[in-house]
Amino acid sequence: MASELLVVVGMAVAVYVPKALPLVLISEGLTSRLRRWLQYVAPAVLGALVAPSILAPGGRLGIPGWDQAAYVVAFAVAVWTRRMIPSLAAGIVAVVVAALLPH
Amino acid sequence: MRRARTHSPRRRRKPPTPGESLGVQSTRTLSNVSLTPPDALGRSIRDGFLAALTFFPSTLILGAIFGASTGAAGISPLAAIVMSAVVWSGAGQFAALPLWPEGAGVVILSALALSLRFTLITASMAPLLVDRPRWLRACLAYCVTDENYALAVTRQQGALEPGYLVGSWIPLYAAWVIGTAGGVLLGAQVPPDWVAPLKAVFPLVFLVLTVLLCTSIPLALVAVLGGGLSVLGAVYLPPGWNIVSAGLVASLVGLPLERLLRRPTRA
Repeated sequence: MASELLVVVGMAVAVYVPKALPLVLISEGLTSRLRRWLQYVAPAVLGALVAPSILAPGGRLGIPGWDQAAYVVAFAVAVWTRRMIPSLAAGIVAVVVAALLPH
Repeated sequence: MRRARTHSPRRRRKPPTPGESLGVQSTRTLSNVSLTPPDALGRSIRDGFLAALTFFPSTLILGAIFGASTGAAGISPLAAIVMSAVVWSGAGQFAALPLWPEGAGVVILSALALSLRFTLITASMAPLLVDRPRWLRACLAYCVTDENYALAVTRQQGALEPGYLVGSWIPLYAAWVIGTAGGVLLGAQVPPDWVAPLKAVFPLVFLVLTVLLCTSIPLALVAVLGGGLSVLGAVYLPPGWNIVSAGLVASLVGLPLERLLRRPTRA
């Protein structure tokens, strides 16, 4: 039991340290070049987070189906309205409709 | 072009409070003066809380599925609940399930690999938080995860409110821990028909947030490149490496791309 909890603490440290290092160490003196690079981290990471969960769930390339169509709907509404709630609502409606369609 | 707006109307940046520059909080009578006016702090906590509620149901269900799977993986009920409460990492904890019998080293290394993407994420947040005290930054680091990072970074360009991060952390944390405890104690009694739509919430919200974040062509190209590389990485790299490597490569392409696109085309 105790050793199990030690593994848990080890995991907690392994998860926390990568999060904390940049925030704790970066204090001053970032060059403007570095700042401008960091602006591109957000779209790169968000793109990297979302694409596999849509196109390769579980680490395997999926065959596009109705579920993927729901993402196309949300994407289109987001590009068009540039607003969160309508895009999300359209996407959820599309997911529900896709779940009702025969597979 | 209309500015990307997510969930709350844009607010003007607050002017620095007197307390910030004068350090009046050392005065006894003003002992509960915080760095931000209480109402502004309360508002950003509330905004974050409400925005992150979007993820509450799906996180709760995923937590329940995780909790219900721990028994079969050989994790004791207590360790499972403590894990969700202190590790608080969906990906790291699900990865631990099949690895648990292989021992501490493998489990911890896999959690580390899956957490490396946060180094990129918090590095991009760091310039916006440099004027905050270091202890606060160390605490905020614990509150950061994919969901509230995506919410915070699309909310206001060039600014990041600590209160918003904390506020959005609360429902995410609560859902994960409550879900895990429920799953451990009751088993995941989730109707299978619900799981797919609930699981779709995460990619849907992230897809929309990514679109809202891409307010210029280089930003959009970087997002597409990051997505493409990450899909390749998800198929060919060991788990956990695709996001950090795709994020790193795609973000490094950003500046050269920006320069290339800005170069005047010859007539």
